[in-house]
Amino acid sequence: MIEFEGVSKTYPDGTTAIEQLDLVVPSGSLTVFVGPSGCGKTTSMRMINRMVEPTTGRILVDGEDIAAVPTVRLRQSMGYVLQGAGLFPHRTALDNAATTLRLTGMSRAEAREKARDALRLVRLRPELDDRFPSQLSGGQQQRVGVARALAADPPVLLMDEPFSAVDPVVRAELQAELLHLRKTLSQTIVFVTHDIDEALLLGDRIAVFGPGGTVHQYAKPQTILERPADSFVAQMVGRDRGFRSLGFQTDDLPVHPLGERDAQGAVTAHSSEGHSAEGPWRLLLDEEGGPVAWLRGESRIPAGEGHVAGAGLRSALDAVLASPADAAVVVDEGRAVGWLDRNAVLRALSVPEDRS
Amino acid sequence: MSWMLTNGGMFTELLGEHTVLSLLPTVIGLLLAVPLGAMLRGLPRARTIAVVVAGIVFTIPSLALFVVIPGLIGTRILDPVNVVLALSMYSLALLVRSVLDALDAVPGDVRDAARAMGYAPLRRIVAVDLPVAVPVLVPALRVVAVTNVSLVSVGAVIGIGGLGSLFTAGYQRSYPDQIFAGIIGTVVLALLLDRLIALAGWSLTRWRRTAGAAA
Repeated sequence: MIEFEGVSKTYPDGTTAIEQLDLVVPSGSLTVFVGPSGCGKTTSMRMINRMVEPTTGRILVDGEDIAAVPTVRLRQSMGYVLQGAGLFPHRTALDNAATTLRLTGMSRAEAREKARDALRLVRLRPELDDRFPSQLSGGQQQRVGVARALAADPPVLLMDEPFSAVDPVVRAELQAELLHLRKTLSQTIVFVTHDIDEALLLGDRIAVFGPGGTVHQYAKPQTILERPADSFVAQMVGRDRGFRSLGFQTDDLPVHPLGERDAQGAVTAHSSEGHSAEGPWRLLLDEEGGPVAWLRGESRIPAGEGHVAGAGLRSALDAVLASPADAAVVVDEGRAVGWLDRNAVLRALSVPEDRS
Repeated sequence: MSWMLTNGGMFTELLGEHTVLSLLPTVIGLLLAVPLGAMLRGLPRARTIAVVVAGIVFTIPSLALFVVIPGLIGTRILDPVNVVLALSMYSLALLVRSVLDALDAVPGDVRDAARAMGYAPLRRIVAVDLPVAVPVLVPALRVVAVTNVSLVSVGAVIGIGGLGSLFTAGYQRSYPDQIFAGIIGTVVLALLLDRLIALAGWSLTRWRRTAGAAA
């Protein structure tokens, strides 16, 4: 648990970076500090490992005032991932990942062994272990950066806009992997970003920082979307707020079984009601059972990716809207496993969740 | 050429002396410049003063320094220490600026990362800053080494000049062969030291040459 108690930061020239910050980051959570540049989010994070010292107030980590902990020891107990990786250019990927272990006095062989595990954890291909940072792509460098922070298995992980320097495709990949990694990690993570979508995607809790270093709202992503505390937060969240909030609503909708395959390899996926003269839409599957296209008479419409059960109402709605039939495909690991009824999805939307 | 062939023993001896007299100040200068530069980076005012002083030191004529040093530290006029000390001062003056430039060239995020990982300041300088600074430092070191080879010759005027004594002797005897031998010796030595330092730098910066191979 990380606690900010009345923390302020004022620079000698009079600028206030942070104003009276009171905030508790629960153990094991991924808390995102989000806000426009110059609002104190990075400064706040850098106070946790004393890269920046507060002017007033104090910060406690697991109940201990960090001002009393020697900086070197404190920093070694926290992983740190920088924007643009910040790897040591003169060390290989493996030796970069071994840095924190070597710093705590581990032998080179043992440190490399554990660093190798960390690199596998972030899914860097083994043949890249001995490359220098200049030989790696931006995404690969960032993976090494995360491995370096995780190798020593620190209880706290600080991530400073870690994915903002890579292209959107790689960013989405790294974000998905961070979410995946979290299932196996117990770290308390503080993640800084200026990208609200990234915050909503990754965060258990989000602190929205505004100009002057004040926190406008500190809440779960769904709450931020549904009930922004003020106009600043609403503006920060931006367009499609209502639609995006659907992503956080559960979709306990009935999944209907698919029919038998016909000679073409297509299956029926429809309710009995309302078909045109051409008959119902049928769903063509490939050999592995993945959805390929909707078929009816001469029409053939690509099936898209379908809806993954549990992915939220937003995904379910998108899947039924994208489908020409009255049904949307439900997929599991790429295979079609059933279908959703369009009307059931729409009915789920028309009854707002109890928001009390 | 004929002089060199008939006086091979003497030539080798002078070459050895010349090598020691030019290499030793280079090494001393580097060993002093690195910690001094690292220290001055954190002290902006001292740094400004040091850079000015270094500039002034380098304007002192070498011959004047060779002659004055014995009076200042009480060595004999023919003591090689005079030459080594004078050239070490020049080397330090040149290298301290280069060390500062080289450390300035270490990318900010690399230094920031090292701090955030929990490097203590001294350990960070040794393990991260200096290795990353090598590419900027090596060219300066090559210039200093070559400069020292040429400056040692000036010492011949006061009697300690390695191959430079071939210039003074050859000139007095109007014996061009001997002068040529001196020139060839110093040029070869300068080129050799320059290549050796470049090679050492090359082997320390393997990480730089592989750029562009990113997959």
